[in-house]
Amino acid sequence: MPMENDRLVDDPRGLIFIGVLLGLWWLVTSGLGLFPNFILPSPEAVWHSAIKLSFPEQPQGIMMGYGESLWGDIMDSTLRLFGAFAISAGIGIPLGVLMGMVPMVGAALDPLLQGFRPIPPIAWTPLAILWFGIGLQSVIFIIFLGAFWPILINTIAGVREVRPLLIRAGRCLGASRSQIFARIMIPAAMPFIFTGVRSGVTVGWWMIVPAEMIASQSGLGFLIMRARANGQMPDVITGMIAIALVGYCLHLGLQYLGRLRLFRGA
Amino acid sequence: MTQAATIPDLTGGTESRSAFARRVLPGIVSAGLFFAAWWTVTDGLELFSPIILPSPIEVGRSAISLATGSLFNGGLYQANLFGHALLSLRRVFIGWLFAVGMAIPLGLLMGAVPTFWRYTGLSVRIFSQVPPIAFMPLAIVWFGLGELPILFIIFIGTFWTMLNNVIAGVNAVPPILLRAARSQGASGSQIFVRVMLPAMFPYLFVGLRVSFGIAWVSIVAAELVASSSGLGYLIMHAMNLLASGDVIVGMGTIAIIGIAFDHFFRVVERKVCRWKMTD
Repeated sequence: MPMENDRLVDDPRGLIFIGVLLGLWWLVTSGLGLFPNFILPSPEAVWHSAIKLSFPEQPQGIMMGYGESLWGDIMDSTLRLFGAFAISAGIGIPLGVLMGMVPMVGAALDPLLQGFRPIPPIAWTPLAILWFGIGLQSVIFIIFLGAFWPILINTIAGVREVRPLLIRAGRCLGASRSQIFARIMIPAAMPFIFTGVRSGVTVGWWMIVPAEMIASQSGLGFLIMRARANGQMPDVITGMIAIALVGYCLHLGLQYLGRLRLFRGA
Repeated sequence: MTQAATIPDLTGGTESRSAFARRVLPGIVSAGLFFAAWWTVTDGLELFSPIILPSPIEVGRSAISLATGSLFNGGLYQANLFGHALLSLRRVFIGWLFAVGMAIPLGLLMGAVPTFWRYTGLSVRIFSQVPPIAFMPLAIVWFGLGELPILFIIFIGTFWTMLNNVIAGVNAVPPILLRAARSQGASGSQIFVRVMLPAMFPYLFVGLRVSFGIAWVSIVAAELVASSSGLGYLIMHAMNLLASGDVIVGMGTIAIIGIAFDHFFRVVERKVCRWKMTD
């Protein structure tokens, strides 16, 4: 990203442009009627669909075959992301620290890392379905892999990049080994670890859509795929907007976290 | 993990053992152990059914049967491994070249005219948050099933990355170089070709490499969801046939092609941007 900024809207002119795009969208659909609703739904149709999906009068599950409401699908997808991310970080960070600090472990596991990492997480989908069946576990497994590699690689790099001077200084000043580890190594590696966490979450959110399209019966990816099968294009657009907005919120949240002192390093 | 012996290694202290014993040997040993363990739990002890985890030997057999046979017709998958790989690569190249061709001029415009970016920046940031595959339902409705929706996914998935890198490249051109060229009487087109483009090269090449990587992942996802050819289709169809060996061969092929292109772009990058001091 060029020009990083953690405010929701850094320049009001950006909103003007979004207004222009919405205007154009209205013009080519409702205004001039160039596109019918089943090709490109009008903004009003999407608005009605968003209201309908957010506050369903009866459970959508009976009517349409997708989740109970838009919020339910958003929750499903986000909880899967966070659950899988927690597993990735829980395994990736300790393993990365171990591989970075102990050269023997690093050298021993490196070929496995180099061999498995190039496999795109989404390419694991067929195996995941064979192993876990269609459902939560498969989706979690795919997102786990998506987030795991960036976290592991960055943690290893972070621990290896700690300046030796810092460690020698700590030792000269009489720090114990556990103090050197907890007070020097980890804080110094933190910016790298955070970079890994950040791209882990981004990749995870990216992966959730195809994972839910293929191997799930709920969530935003499932919603848009099922809505298309039902010919409900306004619901497809609503789902896509929800995916974009949740993704953008995650992006802003991570940018905010990145400014905390904890993650900026010593 | 806080063992004493490990910390001196990190401080770059004297090493008595050779690099071979420290780096290469553990790697060979661990790769060997990995395959031995894989064989033991499958063929050796038969802990897993071949559908869940086929043995290394079985995967080797799958690789041979997939790699032989006619390139584009016949066989269980209507094409052999190379045929599917070529189909995937063709899609990736078409979609990616379209994206690059549009992102470079647009990125130059957005980077060179800051006002333009101030208006469009927010929209670009929000649009680029949509995972490419989320456009699949829309693309199918717009273009029907077949090649076009897949090309569209590749295009939309790589366009934003390339655009962001071009804009960053334009912003990274040191103004002093532009002023120096101008004060020495360079024309506008000379400044662009001789000063701006070379200064942007590192960003352009990172954009090309990263966006190609995204294209390669997106093609697999798109072919898993909606295609009847290509490597993504191959592994999905193999799953339906419960041919796990074929699934693993397909995954390996996807990985190898991905690394090969990543490596290729890095080599070109290093050649073209040799003057670049920092990473």
